[in-house]
Amino acid sequence: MNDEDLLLRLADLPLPPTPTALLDGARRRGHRRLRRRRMVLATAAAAVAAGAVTVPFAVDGQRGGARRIAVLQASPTAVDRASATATSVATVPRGRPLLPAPFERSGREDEGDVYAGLFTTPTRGDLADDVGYQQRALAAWQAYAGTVRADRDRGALHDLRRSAHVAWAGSTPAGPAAVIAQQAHARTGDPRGDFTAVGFVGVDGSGAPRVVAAATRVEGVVEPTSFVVDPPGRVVVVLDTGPGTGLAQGLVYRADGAVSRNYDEDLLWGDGAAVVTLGQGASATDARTGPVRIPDGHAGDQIAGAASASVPCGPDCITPTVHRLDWTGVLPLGTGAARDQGVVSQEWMKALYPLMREPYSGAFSLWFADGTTPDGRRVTVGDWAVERDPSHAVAVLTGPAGHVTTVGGGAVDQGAALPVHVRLPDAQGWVVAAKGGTIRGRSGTGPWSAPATDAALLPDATTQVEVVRGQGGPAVVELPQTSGLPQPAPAASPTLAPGATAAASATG
Amino acid sequence: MRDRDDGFDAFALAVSPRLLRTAGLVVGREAAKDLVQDVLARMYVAWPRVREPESYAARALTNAVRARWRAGARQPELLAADPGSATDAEAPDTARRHAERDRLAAALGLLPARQRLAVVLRHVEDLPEAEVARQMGCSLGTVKSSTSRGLARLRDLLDRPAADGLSADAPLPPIATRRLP
Repeated sequence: MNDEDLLLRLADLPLPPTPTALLDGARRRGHRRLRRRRMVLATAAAAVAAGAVTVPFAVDGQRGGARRIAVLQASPTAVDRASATATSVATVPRGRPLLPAPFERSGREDEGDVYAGLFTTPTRGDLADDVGYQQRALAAWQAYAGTVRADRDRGALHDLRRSAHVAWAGSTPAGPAAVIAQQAHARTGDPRGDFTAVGFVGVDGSGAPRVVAAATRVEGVVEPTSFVVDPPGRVVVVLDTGPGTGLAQGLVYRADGAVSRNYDEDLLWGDGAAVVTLGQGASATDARTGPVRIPDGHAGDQIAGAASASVPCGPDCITPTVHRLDWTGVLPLGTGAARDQGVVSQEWMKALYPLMREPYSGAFSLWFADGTTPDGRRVTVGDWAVERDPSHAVAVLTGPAGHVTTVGGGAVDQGAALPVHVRLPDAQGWVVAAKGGTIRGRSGTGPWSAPATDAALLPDATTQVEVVRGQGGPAVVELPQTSGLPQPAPAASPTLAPGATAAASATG
Repeated sequence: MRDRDDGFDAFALAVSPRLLRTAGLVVGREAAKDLVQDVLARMYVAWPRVREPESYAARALTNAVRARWRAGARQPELLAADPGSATDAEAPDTARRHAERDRLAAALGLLPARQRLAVVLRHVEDLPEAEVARQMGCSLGTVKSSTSRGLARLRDLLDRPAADGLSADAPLPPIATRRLP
């Protein structure tokens, strides 16, 4: 089929008939919209007249687009001004998204230039009118691009054209930040042609503008829409990609051993972005942005500028450090012979696949403690390390009928006297492991159990475990009486600062 | 400023087949009805202020399509050019024409979302490239590349044997799927 034939056939596609009900329905829906809008306006007017503490905000076509933010109390009531700042809330318009939603940013070559919208939008954010800051940000971008242009092998920024455009500029707790777009022209042979290059501008150690990351459309890579302002700090700007976009601070380990991320949508969106200060202990390297209801098998996006800042540019730049225990082999629990490692490994990993809610980098266990529980279930314990996190133990219990139960055993520590101890459900006991050690346990001040080598399945009432490894003396470990190893302290809740206008209002 | 009821019905009646065709080819027939109805309902509210109704409607529809994609509706429904597909009672030529249209619509459904929208706006609705760029909120270059790649892909799909399962009855793969990092 030639072009002409195809175009004729496209132009010949017929117009469908219009169902009468469609037009009737449009009128009815239009009437309802009018009524609703008038009601909202009337409510707002009444609230203002009454000196109410909050002002409802709703604009036709922006359902879900308004977000509550902390602002100064507008009411002249007898409330302390400082406490009013902290306690009263109102709403501001979120405005339209700055970029397409994550799942439209497919990273495919044939999907177009998703950053193109940045280039055509007027500057947004609470510093949209701060010409002085924008000039400093643009100067930082030009200096950065000039440095990269000198390295033509890098390609993406070697031929920038037209004027750079500040798509967003806003205040953050770490200092001002900006997103800059500029048209780039690909080298001969690069199928991208003209495309949009983006500079994420944060701050350096002195608070001056600094390009923390640059991005362009690259086939197979999902374009980032968030960046850390103060690498390796915790202030992150999340560009607004529409309703349903959220931020996850780090991995969450669940009681059943599953690892997931909780994407918090309740960010305080300002004009085109949300500014978030990650909680104590959290790292922008581990944070992700993505759809709140992220489908299984999909992963969130990394924060631009985070990885290179917080991971030393050594071998870790390519291969993250794996914190998995370096043990190998099957450690039998009890006196029976060890099962074949291939079989044990397959069973254990098959049970773990459903626990992976997002595709991760990491490593599976090369060792397994394997045996039978008092109620006749097969129990296998191994560890898995996900991304940069400490490795975690997981126990898989398989009943005679094939029913599988998984239990998370907390973080493991190769250097600890007792690196692994997992409490099994239904009072089936403790699986403890210390490769190369002699292990025995007891309850309270009761008698010690018979010693075992490498690993043991101890009664549920066990409170103390004695481990003898190498030439060292015995070490006695108290078992926690609620669960396995204590989880690492979770990152504190993020501080959510509204982007742009919202920030100004909040401090107003 | 015109009265809200002044001419809205006549306009809606005239413009809706075109809107339904565009939306039907991009998001599927059933979703198109809801989308067009919503666009017209919004226009009804804004009617007194609307200066260029046809252009306004076209832009509103494109925005609604993009909003629907953003909202996560990844899988288009069965795409078909026309509800009146071929029947046994029709003349063979008519039936073949229907089948070809359905095949073309199904092939459109296999394009990535942005390419599909660009091809429909540019070559089915015959809008100038600049207008397509305005409606899609992208650059002229993106429109050119999207339509060019879309047409090339369409040709490729339509040149395949008919037995390849490319018909309006064939299930469509998900569109705009995301690469895993």
